[in-house]
Formats: sequence, C-alpha cells, structure tokens
Amino acid sequence: MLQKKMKYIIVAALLLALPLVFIGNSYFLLLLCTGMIYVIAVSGLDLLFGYSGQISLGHAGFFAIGAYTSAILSIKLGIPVVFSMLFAAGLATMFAVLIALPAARLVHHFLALITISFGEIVYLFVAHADPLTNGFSGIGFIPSPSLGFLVFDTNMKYYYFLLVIVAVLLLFKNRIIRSRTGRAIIAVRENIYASDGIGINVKNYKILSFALSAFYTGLAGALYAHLIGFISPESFTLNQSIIFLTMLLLGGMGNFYGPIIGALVLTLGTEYLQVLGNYQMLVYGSLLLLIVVFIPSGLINVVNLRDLKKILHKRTTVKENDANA
Amino acid sequence: MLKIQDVVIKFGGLCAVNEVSMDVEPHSITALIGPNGAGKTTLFNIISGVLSPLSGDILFAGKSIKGYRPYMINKAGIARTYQNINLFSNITVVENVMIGQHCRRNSNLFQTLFRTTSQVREEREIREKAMEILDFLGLAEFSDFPAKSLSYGNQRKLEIARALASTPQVLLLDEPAAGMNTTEKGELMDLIRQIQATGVTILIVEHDMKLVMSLAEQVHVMNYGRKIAQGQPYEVQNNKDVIEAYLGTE
Repeated sequence: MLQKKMKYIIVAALLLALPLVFIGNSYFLLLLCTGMIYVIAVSGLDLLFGYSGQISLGHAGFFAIGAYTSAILSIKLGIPVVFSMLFAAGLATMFAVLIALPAARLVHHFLALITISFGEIVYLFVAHADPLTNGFSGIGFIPSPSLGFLVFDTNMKYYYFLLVIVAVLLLFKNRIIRSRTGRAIIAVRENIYASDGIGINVKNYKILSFALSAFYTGLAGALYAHLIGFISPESFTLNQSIIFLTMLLLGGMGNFYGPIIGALVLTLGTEYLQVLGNYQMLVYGSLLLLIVVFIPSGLINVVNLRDLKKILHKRTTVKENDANA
Repeated sequence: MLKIQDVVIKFGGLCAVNEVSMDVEPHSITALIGPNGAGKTTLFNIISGVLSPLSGDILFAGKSIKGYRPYMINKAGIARTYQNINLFSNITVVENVMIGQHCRRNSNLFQTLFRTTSQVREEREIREKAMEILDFLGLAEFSDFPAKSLSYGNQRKLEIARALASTPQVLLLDEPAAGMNTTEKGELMDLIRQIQATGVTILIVEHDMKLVMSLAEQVHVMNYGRKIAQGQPYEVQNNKDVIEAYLGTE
C-alpha cells in the first residue's frame, strides 16, 4: 500500500517537474499540451468503442461542438472560460444522446456510417454558418481560461491546468469502469443478448456510453480551442476522427493506459517525423501498418503491466517457498 | 408461480409453438422435454421475453409479463441460462457473477464518480455475494480467470451462477447438462436440488432422460410445437404418444 502511494507520488512529482526541463522551449510544451488534450479525447472514444463496443467515426464532431461552443460563448457572451468549457462539453453530451437514440439500435458498419454522417454534418455546419462560426476564416483571439487571479495564458501554465483536468478525468474513467455502471457497459460489449437477459437495459447503457464519451471529447475540444486561441473547420474533418481512432488502436483499447500511450506517441511521433520531410507520411503509414499487423491489441500489450507483475510476483513467491523449505 | 396460457408463435408459415399451456408450481422442479425442434427453447425464449407470442398470455405470480423486455423479466424475478453458452467471455468469472446482480443493486453514476460511502459499501457487498455464489457452485478457485478459459462444464455452471446472482424466484435452465460427463451430471443434479431447497422454482429443458426423470416432479412433453403430454415422470414414460414421438410408430 505504502509502496503504491510512493509510486503515485513519484509519478506526480515527475509530471510536475517535466515543464521545468523544457523552460524556454515553449513549442515543446505546446506539443505536450496538445498530446494531453488528445489523451482526454481518446479516453472518451475508449469509453465508447473500447468499453461498450460501439464504433464512432464521428468524434471530430463532438470535438468541434466543444471547441466552437466554448469559443463562441466566451467571446460573444463573455462567459468565464471555465464555465463555457463545461457548457460546451454538456452540449456535446446532449448531441451524443440525440444520435445515440437511433444509433443504439445499430451495429458495426451501420453505426460507423451514422457517426461519419454526424461528423460531416457538424463539419459542414461550422464551415458554412458564417454569422456564428465565421466560416473558413475561423475564430481567433479565443481567451485563456482563468481561475480567480490565476490566468493560464502561457503554455507552461496551461500544462499545469491540463494536468489537473487529465488527472481528474482519468480518475473518473477508472472509477466508472470499476463500478456497477461500468460493468454493465462492458457487459453490453461482451454479449448484448446475455446482458438483456440478466437485467441490463442495453439501450440505456449504449446511450450512456455515448454521452460519457462525448463529454470527454467535447471538453477536449474546448480545451483545444482555448489552448491554440484559433479554430477553423479544417481541424474538425473526418481525418480528425480517424486520428482519434488510430491513437486508440495504436495504444490499445478497453485499457486505462492504452489511450494515454496512443495519444502521446502519435502526437509526439508525428512531430518528430517531420524531419523526414516528404517521406513523413510514408514512414508514418508504414509504422502504423507494422503496429497493426504485429501488435493488433495495441502498444500497451507490448509490455503488459499485469502480466509483468504476475511474473515478478511468481518469482518472489517461489523464492519465499524455497526459503521456507 | 408461472402460468403459460395458450401461447402461439409462428415463424413464417411454421407454427413453432401452438396453443401450449402449462403451470409451474412454486418451489417445484418442472421439466420440459421433447424431440429436437419440438419448440422447447422457443417456449423458453417466450417466457424470458426474447420472443413475443402471437397470442396467449404468460402470468408470473399472478401478473401478466407478456410484452416485457428480457431485462424487465429478469428484474421481475425470472432468470435463465442458455443452450448455447452466452457468457461475458473476455472478463473474469467473478465479474460475470457481479454483473448478474445488476438489477438488484442501485448505485448510480454520480455516486460512482465521487465514491460515496454507500457506493463503496455496495461494491464490497457485490463482490462478497459473487464470491459466495461461486463458492456454492464450486467455482471460487477460478474467480479471477477469464470466463472463456473455463471448461465447458464449468462454463455451464457459471451461467447458473450468473442467473442465481439476480436472486430469481424462477430459474429457467436450458439444457444445463449438455456436454457434461456422468460425474458432472451427478454434481449438476445435486446442485439443482440444492438450488430448489433455497426456495427457487426451477423449469428445465433437458435431453438427458435419466436426469429429467430423477429430478422432475412434473414433466411436460412437446412435439411439433404442441404439448402432447404432462404428468409425473413414470406417467409420461408410459404414455403412448410420448413413446411414439421419441421412437416413431411402427
């Protein structure tokens, strides 16, 4: 128990100290912040696809709703950013419920199609509703969030702001998964027929996982808008939905660490592959292909922490037995 | 306890269940037998709400449960197992039984997010009860294994464990002995008697005649969607129609 606490303290200390190493390298901090936002968005997708077994190819839609709603509310109505972000995530959640009502009846390819359409509709809306979203010119000068006298206006400050939010959201995700609610969501993924027979209202839990998922991804969208300070429709295309899905598959889904690894590796990886110039996408694509072929269950399973623990545990117990004998 | 009244269901032109009626007495073990394709599993699917009958009614404890969705029927107090095993196969054995308690527990999302004392207590109770049930069925040693890693016989037992977790008044067992060897069948019989002793009413579909005849107090026989006989085991065994249905006529 004490050992476990020590581990958490060390991880927390490392994360808190990390930006100090990169003082003056504001660009790297921006990259790190983007990665953390993706961790939130992909964790949201994981709740839907990884845990309840429903695919979404339209999560860029929730990301966009979060980003635009928070930007517009804070600029046009002057609502404090922290509240506009929460409101934006709430609106994304409401849209998720609206799609999930019909979508809860669909599976696999049909669900993929309806979510793609949703993403495209949102994209077309933000691209053409000029009076509200400023169309392709985008929205600029999006204010930074603040809490009292604390204004998160530099990448370093934003990093700490995000660190708290990521920690809370991941904690919540973990709590949901290990609860009656989470088990019902997993049951729906495992066997719809048996879930129904054992007292689980499958439709409601499908809708709930859509809603939870959209809250995470919508909030990520809002955090993105206020980090970059500028949004335009290009950031919210189908391509973005596919990036979320790629991150999830790369890291490993239905897993606490999977989305974290997937989002961070892909964000930083894409960046550092830029030195390859024209060959960037070629190398990127080949790497993805290799990973999908050789580690289909995601990077997290290269070093499966639980297995590793078991192996270590076995060794120590064997040693103890030897000592006793 | 459970009253099936003139139930009819058709698939296309085929009348899979044709005006079948039966009474299941409280705390009894009642068996439903018949050749393959007689409509036994279809009748189970109607009782558990998977299929909706064309006409007729199903009364549970005096109330009609016709048109209820399966999850509502489970909540009302009827649990079932499946002929083709339907477990949550990638998660652990104990989690399967924890999920079985779903409709008898009530902690919500808000309590979960903030780990309220009542939620923490309920979680502990859910796990303890699941372990108790696994112990009862002799599966406790496998509690942390994925359900799919169990042997076929143990997977069938786990289906019963999951069904029991929802504290049913009526338990529907669909061919629980399929694929079991003689020793396992003997254990299963003891187990079913023990479940009955806790006050659960049992309705069982089974092909193994030895098991049916030694367990059941009342036997109903179906053939081609119709009920052709009912009675105590020895009565049914000597019934002309039943012998004909199983062996054919000369």
